[in-house]
Order: sequence, then structure tokens, then C-alpha cells
Amino acid sequence: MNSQSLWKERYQAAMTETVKYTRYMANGGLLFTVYFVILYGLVVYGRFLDQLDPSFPGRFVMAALFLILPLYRTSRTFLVEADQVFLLPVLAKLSSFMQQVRAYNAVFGIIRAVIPFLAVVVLYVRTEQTTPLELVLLGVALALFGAAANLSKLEGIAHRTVLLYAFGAALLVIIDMAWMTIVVALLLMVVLHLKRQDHLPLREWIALEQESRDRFYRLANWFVDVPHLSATYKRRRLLSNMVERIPYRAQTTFDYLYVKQFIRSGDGIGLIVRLTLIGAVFMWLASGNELFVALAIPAFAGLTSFQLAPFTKAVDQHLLTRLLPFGNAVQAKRKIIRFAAISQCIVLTLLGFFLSGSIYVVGGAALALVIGEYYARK
Amino acid sequence: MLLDIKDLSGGYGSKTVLHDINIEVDRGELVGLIGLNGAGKSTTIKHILGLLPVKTGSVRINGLDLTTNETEYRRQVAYIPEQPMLYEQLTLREHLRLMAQGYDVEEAIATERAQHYAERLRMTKQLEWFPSVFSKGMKQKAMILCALVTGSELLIVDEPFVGLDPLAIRELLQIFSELKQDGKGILMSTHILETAERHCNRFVLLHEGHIAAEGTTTALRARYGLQDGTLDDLYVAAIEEAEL
Repeated sequence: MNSQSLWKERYQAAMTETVKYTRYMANGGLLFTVYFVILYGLVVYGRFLDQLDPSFPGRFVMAALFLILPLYRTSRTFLVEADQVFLLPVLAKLSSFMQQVRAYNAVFGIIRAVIPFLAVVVLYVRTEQTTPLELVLLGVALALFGAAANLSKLEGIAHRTVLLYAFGAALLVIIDMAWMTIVVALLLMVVLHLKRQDHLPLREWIALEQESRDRFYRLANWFVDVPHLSATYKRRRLLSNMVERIPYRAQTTFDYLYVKQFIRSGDGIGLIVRLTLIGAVFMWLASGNELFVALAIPAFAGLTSFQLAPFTKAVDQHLLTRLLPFGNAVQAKRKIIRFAAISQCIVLTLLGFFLSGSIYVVGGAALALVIGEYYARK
Repeated sequence: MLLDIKDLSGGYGSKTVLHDINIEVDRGELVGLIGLNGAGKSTTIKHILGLLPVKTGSVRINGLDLTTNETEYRRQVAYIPEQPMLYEQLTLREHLRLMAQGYDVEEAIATERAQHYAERLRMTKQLEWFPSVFSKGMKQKAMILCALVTGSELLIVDEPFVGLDPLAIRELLQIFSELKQDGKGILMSTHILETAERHCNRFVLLHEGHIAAEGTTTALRARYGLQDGTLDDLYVAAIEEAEL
């Protein structure tokens, strides 16, 4: 197998899989909620822009984008575990494959940067004195940072290096020298070029691919069941110590197991924190409209409960769970979903009162609790 | 009788793997379940654990049947699988608490038992670790600890020595010996016949879903006329006879 045919074969296989899951996702029930949230977000953002005060610090938002974008970096390499055995004989002849992988990740990074740039630039032009050339340079600089973030991971370059350059670019935006960001971005690209890997780091690239696939599978898993999804868990020592206080009784075995799963997985408490924060931002952006603020509560409660409902899947499908005398799983799961729904509802309701002071918020909260209960009983 | 399998036929879906087998394990006994790959050892274990439905016959542990009282049935038996299966989201200490809690073991006893066996298998340092950082041998030891902390009457053990270091193997065999003295029963599936010969009280030799031979080493030697035969020799003789 040569470098070119390897790339072609792997890329096609990856695209086939991506298309397959995208089709499943497009048919999933959650997509309607996602459409709703996106449309809701667009409307809220549009109204926010209409009412925007020209003194709003738009440059800080653009600077924040420069900082936030490279925080997340993901690289695909299209390699699989078996390659650490079967690619060994041709390892020295894979430079063309490496170039293709780099190009893919750069393009993907650019696309990832352009979408938020388009969202922020409409705010930026309303609040800052700028020229079309400066906007183009800003866009290109941000796109390069998007590409650099992915490429740096591929080349094994420390994340802090990219973040340092991003910080420099953000500072330039703040001090009204936005056009200079392109220089910083180009400098970073030069650094990446000088530090690029000459030989394919097989094990590292296989791990990167696994990590990237897991991210995609986790996203797809919101919509459809993804087999063999490997999950990552965080220790969360403080919360974990609190869970140890669950009474030690045979009847509460599932409570213990599920709560540990809930606090340590990204599908549990991580999901609730993320969606509550996003909901809070939406409510803040819509704070001029009482109805929108109130509607955000059930919308985000629905989105959270829908995604939270299958959080026990990893435990339920485990052979140990089927083998052992653990007690009542259904009740334990319901307790957690109810607790999560009520906690999130309290936070969003209080925020709703703070932002709008409207009685509509009570209606939104009641609807949110009904949705939470529906998913708890499902 | 601790484990009483009577006229069991079973398998996967419509495929029958086991044909009318009878196996008994009494208190204080370590019974070796041996056979070629595909002989039906794992299928037998899955039936005991209730992972496969029984077609005909019965499986009872301590007089209990899975269909009449599943929770109590499961509390009678602990399982050490060939492939370790641990929850990725729990540390070893949390696994041990979970197991003990599920098996309704008194908390103080569970803590003491966990510490005792963790020390003997040299796993005290790993108690706060997640399985993702365990070596293969550590995972196997973790599964052994999980089974031991339950204090169940019957232990089902599938290839327990795979991945274990020599010290751990020696310690595990010593623990099995102590469990037997405490009146527990053990059914162990293994291919390591030399160890099995030295430590098992009896053997059940499965071949193509049938019991080809069973009994003590002495009885098997007498049956096959191999007075100085090792378990390896007896195993080969039993297979040859079954295939005639």
C-alpha cells in the first residue's frame, strides 16, 4: 500500500461513516430541539444587534474569539490501532499521507473559525471604526489560528504556544491594531512549519484519531445509539467525596453507581453545567423580551433532560450490571434526572426573575418541570 | 449441594451447545472445569450466571433458582471472568464498596475484607486508581478482589491465572485453599492443567458440550489405566476416547 492509496482509502471510509451518522442524526428527534434553539438564538441575537449601543465593547468580543477559538483543538489522522503493526514496514514512505492529513486538518480548522467569525463580525462592524481590508485581514488571521490550533496538535506542539500567540493577537485587537493580527498568525504558522514532524509519529497519531472519533461519536450519541463509544471520566474529588455519603445499603447500590457516573461523565453534570451556562447567555441576550426569557427555561430544560436521559447507558450495558444483585435501577435513575431538572430549573428561574422580573418566568419554570418529569418517567 | 446443575441443555439462540450435563460442586470443594476450546466451558459458566436461558434442566445454587429469586440467587455466587470487566468511572476502592453494598455485606466487614485481600494481592496502592491506568494483571487482580469482597458461597472462576504474576498466582491459590476451608465452593475453568492437578479436588472434562469424564485424579487414572498419568495424559486420553 502506498501513501496515496492509504489516504484515499482512509478518507473515503471516514467520510462514509460521517455521512452515515449524519443521516441518522438528521432523522433523530433531538434535531428539532436543536433547530429550535438555533432559530431562537438567531432571533435573539438579531434583536440584540438591533438594540446594540454603539459604545458596546465589540473589540473585546472579537478579542475573546481569538482567545476562545484555539482553546479547542481537534485533529484527525485517519489511522487505526492495527496500523501500529501493519504500517510499520512503510512508515518511512508516508510523507505524502502526512501532507494530506495536514491539509485536511488545516481546512477543517479554517471552517471552524469562519463560522463564529461571521457571527461576531456583524457585531464588530456596528461598534468599531473599521475598513473592509481590516475585516478581511482579521478573518484571515482568525482562520489561520483555527488551522494552527489543529495543526499544532498534529505536530505535537504545546497548546500553550498557540495560546500565547492567540493572546498576543487578542491584545492587538483590544488596542485597536486588529490588522496586525495577521502578522502574529503568520508568525505562528512559521513556527509550526519549523517544528513539523518529519516522520509519522504512529502511536501519537493513532491516539489523536481515537480522541477525535470519540468526540464525534459523543456528539452523534446525542441523536442515535453509537456502538463502542469510549467515554472519558473526570475524578471530581469534591463531588465524589459527597457521593460517598449515600447510605451504604443494598437497596441504594444503583444510586451510588449512577451518581458516580453522573458526576464523572461529560454526559451528566458536565452536560447540565454547559447547557445551563448557554441558557443563561441566551437569557441575557434576550433580556429585553420577557417572553423570550421565560421560553428559554423550558427550551433548555427540554434540551438538557433529553440528552441526560441516556446518561446511564454506559452502566446499563456493562456486563457487571447484568450480573450483580444491585437493586432498583429505574428509581435510582429517576431520582437523578428529577434532581438535575429541578436544580437547573431553579437556577434559570432565578436568573429569569433577575433579568425580566416577569410572571411569565413562573409559567416557563412550570413547563420546564413537566418536561423534566416526562423524561424522568420515560 | 452448593452448585447443582441437573440435565442442563442450553446454548445461544437455537444453537444447542450443552447436552444434558450434570455438575455438582459441594462446600469445601474446588472443581476444575476443563476442556478444549469450544467444549462448552464458558457456556456452562454463562448458564450458571444466568446470562443464557436454560433450555432444559436446572441450575440451582444453595437450593435457589434464578427464576424464583434472582437477587438472592445472584448473592450466592461471585464471578471472576477471564476478561476483566471494570467500570471505567469507578476507582478500585469504589468497585469494592459497590460490590459489597450490592451483595449486602456489612460495611465494616467489607472494609476489612477489602483491605485484607488488597494487601495480599499487593493492590493497596492501586485502591484509588481508575481501571484505565491498570495493567492487564492489575485488572485481573481487581476482578479477583471484587469477587472476594462479596464473601459469596460459590465462586465461579474463568481462567484466573491469565496475566497474573507468579506471586499473585501463588497467593490466589492460597486464598482458594482458605476459602475451601471456610466451606466455600469453587468452580474453576482453566487450561493450566499442572496447577489444576495440584489444587483441584475433582475435575469435570467437557467435550463438545458433553461431559467426557469426571472425578478425582485417582479415579480418572483408574478409568484410563494410567497409574502414573498426569492430568495432561488423562485429558488427552479422555478426548481420544470421546472422539472414537
